[in-house]
Amino acid sequence: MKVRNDYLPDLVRIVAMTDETVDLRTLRLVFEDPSLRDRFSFLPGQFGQYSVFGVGEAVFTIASSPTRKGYIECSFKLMGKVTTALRDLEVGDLIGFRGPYGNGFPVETLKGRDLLIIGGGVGMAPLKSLIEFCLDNRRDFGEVTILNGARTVADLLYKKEMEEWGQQEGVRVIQTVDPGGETPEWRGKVGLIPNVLNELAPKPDGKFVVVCGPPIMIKFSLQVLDRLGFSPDRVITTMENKMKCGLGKCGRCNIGPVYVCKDGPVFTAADLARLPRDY
Amino acid sequence: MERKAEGTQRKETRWVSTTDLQKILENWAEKGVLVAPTKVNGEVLFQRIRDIREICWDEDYVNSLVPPKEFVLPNEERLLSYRRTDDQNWVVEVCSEENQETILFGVRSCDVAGLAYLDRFLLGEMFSRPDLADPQYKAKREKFILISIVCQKAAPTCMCVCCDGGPALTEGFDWQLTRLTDGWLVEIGSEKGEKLATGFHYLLQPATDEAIKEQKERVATIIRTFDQYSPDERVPTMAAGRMVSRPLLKEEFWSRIGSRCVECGGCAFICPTCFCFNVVDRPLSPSLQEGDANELAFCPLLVGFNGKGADYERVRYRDCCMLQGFVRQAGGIYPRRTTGERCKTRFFHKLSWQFLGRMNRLGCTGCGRCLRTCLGEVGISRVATEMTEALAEKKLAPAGVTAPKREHQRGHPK
Repeated sequence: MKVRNDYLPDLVRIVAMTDETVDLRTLRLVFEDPSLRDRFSFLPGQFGQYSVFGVGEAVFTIASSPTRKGYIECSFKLMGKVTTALRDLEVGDLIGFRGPYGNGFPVETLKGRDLLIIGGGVGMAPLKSLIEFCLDNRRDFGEVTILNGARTVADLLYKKEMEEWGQQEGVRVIQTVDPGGETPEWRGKVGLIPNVLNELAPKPDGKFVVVCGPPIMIKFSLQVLDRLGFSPDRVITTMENKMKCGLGKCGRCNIGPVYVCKDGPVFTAADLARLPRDY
Repeated sequence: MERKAEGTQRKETRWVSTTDLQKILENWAEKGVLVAPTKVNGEVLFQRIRDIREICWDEDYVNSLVPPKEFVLPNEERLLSYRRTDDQNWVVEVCSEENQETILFGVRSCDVAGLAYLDRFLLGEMFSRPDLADPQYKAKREKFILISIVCQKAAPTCMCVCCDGGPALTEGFDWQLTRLTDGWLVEIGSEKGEKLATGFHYLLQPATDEAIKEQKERVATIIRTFDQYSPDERVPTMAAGRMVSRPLLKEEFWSRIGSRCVECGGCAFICPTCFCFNVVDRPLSPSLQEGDANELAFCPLLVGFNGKGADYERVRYRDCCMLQGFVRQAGGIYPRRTTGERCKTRFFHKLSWQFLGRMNRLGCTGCGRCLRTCLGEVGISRVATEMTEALAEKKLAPAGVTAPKREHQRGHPK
């Protein structure tokens, strides 16, 4: 008897790749099964399990928007075994993909609101999906402010996209690099994201904030947002935990009573406050 | 105690004589798969048997060394296999084996409760998503018929009465047997059990009122054996649950418990409710494809990517949250770095009300194997007791929180 198997990945082919930084690459992937190309749908903020056959699986968020059909994108940083093998692949190679998993950003709740989107480093990947989703459904969303930071100018992601987004009406892009990471030509801000956020001092005014990045950045940004008067249930963030299945079975992403892969990865700051501090 | 003895809701009961029970098993062993407790080098282990004389009957053991969960969630299991074709493409195949209908005979109530816990989690009910049932687990589990036997004696480590895990259950089994002075009382707990009873109707007899009464008395007697520990010496699982849920214990308490953990992972591997696993890819040599067990034992788990020509498999194997690398993330982010933090997470998962709410029962069924296995006495019963003691000492708990007075250490039955 053949059983449906959730561990079976769909084959996807690498059709394009962009080197965002020295160690960060974005792959554009197209399903081998033509029917999946149109049928596959997801929410911004959802993630997938990407297989390099013979090496293993790794979790990355889907960095493209569900409004742009026909392909999906993922951005990954050279880190461990799977990402090293993934980097060795070339355009035309096949990898495995299964998903989408997780809850995704609450786009219905965000509709009609002004958004403040804060992303640090590779944390921009899920936000890229959300930003593209907002821009493709422009009339549904209010003003979009994007605060993007990285360690150095060379580490900034999606340079081309940022430029495009900044030119659109109702979108403001603020970029910052850590002190010491600037170049003589750098015209953006210099400072850590929480400090820049403090300096900008955005007013809550019914805004929703989406924060993504390394845990330390999220921690201090949430503190700043709290001081600025943002209600914790309007501050949305994502968590990243080690996962092996994405199906709520392997038990690795368990934090307190929640499983990040099923109950998350998108949580509000109010949700996070209820969890034990071990992430 | 009273609640247990009286509240047993019987769906249907039958009576069977010992010879007829043996006939049922003999008959099944001929046409299907029979897994039963056997004695191997003095230890009781579940194994597939073909001759019912190999069965180690319930009077000779309290519980098996390891729970029978390995039949539904094996230590190691192949999920996929794939190969690279000559034109540089990949062919991925799902591994599914033909599962035969299997009787799992002689399971103890705590392990039945453990399987019920695994069912809820792995069949997706915890997330109210039955469509997310684990395919491998489901295929195996559906074929299993559980015949449990009510314990009539307790080991010093047993604590099922404190965890709603025995000695007799009200659900979760297909058949629940209780040994009586003469013959056995059969309680039928599911459709599968009914089907089995219909199949062997000629060997089963209606249960008399005396038999039902005797079963109740026997269950009450075994519960009284637990009380020999003295009523105070029940493992305070509810109080411990309160302490981990809120959480009331200081970090020092957990670092003290953690300092005793040697990170062997034994507690999770022998726990009837632990399910966490890891997934790896590895190459498949030609002899492995033929299932050569010797080759398998030496197969390196972690290998580089060496391209075409090789066949690979993706396997999952059971893992343990007490091991250091369990939650290590890429980029050097390393939550729960100390054994104390990991103990805290483990006991939260097992005892907290948050999980009680999601799983409908405690994550501990009271089999006591963790205490028996652990070199540092980080078993659930020991730690739960220490939690209340820590509160009583007021050293490791915030001011104003008190625990009931406890006069004795949990001891061994006389």
